[in-house]
Amino acid sequence: MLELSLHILDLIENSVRAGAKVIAVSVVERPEEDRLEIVVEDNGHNFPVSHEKALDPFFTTKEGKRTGLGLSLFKASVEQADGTLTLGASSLGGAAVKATMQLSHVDRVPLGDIASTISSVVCTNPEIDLRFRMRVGGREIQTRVSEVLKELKPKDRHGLEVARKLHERIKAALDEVGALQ
Amino acid sequence: MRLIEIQERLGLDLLTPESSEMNSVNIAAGHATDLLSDVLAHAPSGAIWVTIQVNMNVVAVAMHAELAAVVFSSGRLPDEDVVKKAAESGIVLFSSAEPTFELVGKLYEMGVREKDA
Repeated sequence: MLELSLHILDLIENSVRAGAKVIAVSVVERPEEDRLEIVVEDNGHNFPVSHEKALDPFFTTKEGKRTGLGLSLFKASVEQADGTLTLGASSLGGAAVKATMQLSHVDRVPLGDIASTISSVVCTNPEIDLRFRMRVGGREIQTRVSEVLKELKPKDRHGLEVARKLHERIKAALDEVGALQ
Repeated sequence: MRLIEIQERLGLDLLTPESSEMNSVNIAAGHATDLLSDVLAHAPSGAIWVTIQVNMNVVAVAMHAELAAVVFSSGRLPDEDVVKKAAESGIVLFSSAEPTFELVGKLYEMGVREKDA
């Protein structure tokens, strides 16, 4: 995949299918250590199989499919940028997927349009509290669906409007912290 | 073009010798990339795929995209478990010392140039 945000989308979709009501996406750039860290975690039911099995490209939880490439392709993408991908438990109660890689690696794919990617999930799942945190060096911003909902009038609390508002906030936040692509 | 002809004319090493597809499968299209998601999105089914990637994901992607064969270029060789999985999945694997550019040029010249297989 050409953008890390598409891998993040894939992980969020896994969380949605795992019944999560809270999904937290964290992107941390550490220019001083030349590392990029991405964590997607949730409060859904945890991995139904061992971590090793979950990373097997021939394992899927979807019926009628023989391959499950989401995590496997993300792992390959991370490793090609001198990184590691680990699966674990989240303090939110569900699963956590953590990837770290070399920020300046020539084979690191760009982050991509993270604002649109995350908002697209909210559009069809406004009842899930999707949280986004971005940290660049010492500067950090956070935004979440539950906050956006509070700001909206009841009549505007539907997928499209929540997604639009969240998109706006993430965009502004990315500009504020000066995120690298 | 049958796989066995491609193997002979390009001088490829066959990594899955038990493959029964060598004589039966006809190859009309090909795809060259090292980005696995590009294969999922764009490779024609039944194609031969040339790549330097040799990990297990290659077999899963080839299977998902219903490809016939994979050629590992530039002398890259996969681990044994990758070869075993490919053999089980009906994916024919080859290796070649030549780089992707050379292999694809020859395949194209031989007539493997359909947009859809």
